[in-house]
Amino acid sequence: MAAIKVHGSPLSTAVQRVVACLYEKEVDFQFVPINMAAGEHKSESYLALNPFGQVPAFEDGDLKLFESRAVTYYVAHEYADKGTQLLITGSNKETAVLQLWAEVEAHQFNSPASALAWELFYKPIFGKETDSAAVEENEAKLGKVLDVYEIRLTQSKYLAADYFTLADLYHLPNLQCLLSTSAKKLLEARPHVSAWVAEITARPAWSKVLAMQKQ
Amino acid sequence: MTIKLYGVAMSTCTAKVLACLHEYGAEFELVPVNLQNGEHKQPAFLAKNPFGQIPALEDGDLTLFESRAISTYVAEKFKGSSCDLLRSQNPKEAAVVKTWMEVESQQFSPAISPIFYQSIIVPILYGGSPNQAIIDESAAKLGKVLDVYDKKLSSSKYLAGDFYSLADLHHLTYIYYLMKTPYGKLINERPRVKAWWEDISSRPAFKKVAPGLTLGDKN
Repeated sequence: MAAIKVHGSPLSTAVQRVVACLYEKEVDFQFVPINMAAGEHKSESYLALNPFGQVPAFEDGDLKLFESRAVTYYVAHEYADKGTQLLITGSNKETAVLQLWAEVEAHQFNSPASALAWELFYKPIFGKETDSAAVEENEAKLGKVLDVYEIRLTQSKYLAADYFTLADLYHLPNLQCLLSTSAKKLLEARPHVSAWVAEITARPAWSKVLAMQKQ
Repeated sequence: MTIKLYGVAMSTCTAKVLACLHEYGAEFELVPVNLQNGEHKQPAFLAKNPFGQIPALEDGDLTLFESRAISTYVAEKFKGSSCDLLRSQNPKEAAVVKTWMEVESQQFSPAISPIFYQSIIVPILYGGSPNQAIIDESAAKLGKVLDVYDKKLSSSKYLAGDFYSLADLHHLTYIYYLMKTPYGKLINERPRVKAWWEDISSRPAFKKVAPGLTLGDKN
């Protein structure tokens, strides 16, 4: 039995973020499905793992963590010598650049991207009506963020370095949603962003995450 | 060469970094950015932060933005002093600190910032009326987050354990402003959260920062 357990649903972007990291690091883990439709993520036993009642929850032996960006950060450090190098090693100044672009994902990209994913990708799945005003507002916001990314990606092959790191990985779940919606035009309109998206979504570890959704 | 922090003392994000710099006794220069004149949207500042927001930091040839990335850099730079806000020597503790830093970032901040924006920014900077519906919705969300905090603080003195960390520090500036509004009751109604707030806000490093948090003060 693997020491690492991930509790969640394959449809959740936050869960996908953690699973993508584990696949990149080639670390064994056990996936424990949580039945969100039945409210299992609000049960007493689940709240003991994640007191905010959200997925994922993560265990490595007796260490219990939550928040996908904290979990992935832990995995990337703890298993630094396995699989893909997802961190920037070197001086404090060099590693700070990874923190910076991880924070950009969390505070600039995530809000409009996940709002669009909700409106255009998830709502149709759940049979809910898309709010076109919310779509328009968030497309404008995301466009401005992607303008900054377009310039950044002319200076650097990936966001934080000339190799794939956690900062790029954090974007994968929402980008994948956007690619199958009308919002993909925002990505396609910016050549460096478009190339970066194509590159990172083609990674074998990400294909394994997508395969989980089909099971 | 000294660290330069570009921002303003009354800004929650700038002050978050100031608190961290003071915890480490770091030498730095606060370089004011004239927000009213739109300096943060001019090319010279956009070269430091392409998102046109304060703060930005320069340390020699390194330029950073995003307050939490900056504070983490400061904590890493001065690692090994008696101050240890990241617990980097202990991977399990460091992971728990990072978890509660993410909680501040992903659960707490999105719930509190609309209350701050509507109660303080809208009336003072825009001369408008607060949107009570937004405030009420956010206060309900923040209450639920703080319920989790209250429970967590029954098993540890601070959020990540029995030690003060960046996870606690990142809450200081928003809560300070919240206490100037009627919604300070959300803190005061929860005994362990209240005790935690009184502890962390009485730290000498924060006492150097608090006088600069003047938004909403009557002149």
